[in-house]
Amino acid sequence: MTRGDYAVLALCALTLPALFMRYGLPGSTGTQARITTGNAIYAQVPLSRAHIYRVPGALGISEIEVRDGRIRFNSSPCQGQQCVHSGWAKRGGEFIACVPNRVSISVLGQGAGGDYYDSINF
Amino acid sequence: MSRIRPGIVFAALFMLCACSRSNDTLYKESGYAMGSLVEFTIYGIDEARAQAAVAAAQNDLSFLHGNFDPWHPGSLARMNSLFALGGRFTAATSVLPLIAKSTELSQRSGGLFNPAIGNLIRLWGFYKDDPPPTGPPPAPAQIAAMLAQQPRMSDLRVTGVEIESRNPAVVLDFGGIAQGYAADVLIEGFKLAGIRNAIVNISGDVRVIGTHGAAPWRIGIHNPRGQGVLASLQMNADESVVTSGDYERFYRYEGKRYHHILDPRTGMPAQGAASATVIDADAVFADAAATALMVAGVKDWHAVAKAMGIKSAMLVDDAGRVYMDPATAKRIHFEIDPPPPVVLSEPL
Repeated sequence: MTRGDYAVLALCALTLPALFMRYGLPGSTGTQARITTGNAIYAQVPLSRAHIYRVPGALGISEIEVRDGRIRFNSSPCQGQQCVHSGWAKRGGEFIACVPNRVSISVLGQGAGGDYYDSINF
Repeated sequence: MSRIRPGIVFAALFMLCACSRSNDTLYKESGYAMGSLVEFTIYGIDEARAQAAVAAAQNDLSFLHGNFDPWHPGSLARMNSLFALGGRFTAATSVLPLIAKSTELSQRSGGLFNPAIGNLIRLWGFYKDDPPPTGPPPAPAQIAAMLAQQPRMSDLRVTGVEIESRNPAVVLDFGGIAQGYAADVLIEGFKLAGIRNAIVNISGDVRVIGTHGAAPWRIGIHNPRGQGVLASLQMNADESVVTSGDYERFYRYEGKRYHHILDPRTGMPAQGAASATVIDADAVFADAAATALMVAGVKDWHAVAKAMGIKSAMLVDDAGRVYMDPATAKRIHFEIDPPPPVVLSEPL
């Protein structure tokens, strides 16, 4: 290898960790979720701590469960129960909403790499 | 064997990083409008400009909702009342483009997409969310009486800004197209405001422009017969993905499930598919097309897609089996393990 090659390798060693820290790679599971009620943020919660959140909405209380790094609607006062049937969400960008009760959950992507999904089609 | 030059390795790794997505200038805002959840995502401009653009979009959405809601006092409700009386009247000009588009797409779908069946939707109760319908389903005789009236978009005659209906049973309900139309309108507004990279998601109907940094926007597609996301899709720079599904609005009555996508031929909830997804440049087309494919079901979807000019579609049946054309299959990445069984069609 030439001295120039060594110089490029040294540049790699110095800059790549910084680039990964800055931009990251998408696809990781989320570490936090944002719960909103109406147009307001109710809480931003860690997915590492098992807990049940009781969130007031337009119709009543939505029960939201965090367990094993995942989050879901455990129960809801809505008629259709679509939010409950949606099951667990864990990847950055995953999103579950109870439209009738105006309560929603957004899983937040890990680090600066952002969410795995930019939006959800349903 | 030739050596791999470190410079090449560095360039490859650098490009890998460049392909990832930065959240530095990503602005997200969500809220409720048109009776559903709306989400705006904008990339690459400062927060103040993004906030201003979203505020303008929300105003536009509020205006459109007021014009397109058939069940509350407003432009469309007034027009529906006048259709029932007969005679020619001046239409609400904001509704005319949607009438023209709906008439064209209804004809191309062979009537499977038919926004003139508002009376049938009212009979089933699927026009109201608060409280939502709980059954019982309408009596077969009531449904038959409404089908006999044969309301169709082709019953409408538009001359300039004047309109008349030859059939007093026409009641327009744009639930199968209005959200896609609104997504297109809002994206056009973003473009005029100089926004190059954005997503508008209205009740799950997604329209994107541009990219998320150096990477394409990645959209998750809801699993209609399971939990979470079924598949993901990397979007082209100006494209829409719209899904119609039987899970969006339904009720159970005496153990049977009744959903809101009605088959205009039978007056009953459409059978034969759990969801239909269409990818197209225009959200308004994708929205109407997804409704038509949902009504067509897995048996007839391919013929209807060809007739409508749909280029990319995916259906899921009750058992979770996926039906799609080869071009769509190349773009779809399943996010469930194991992946579902896939039935590939002829190219569209």
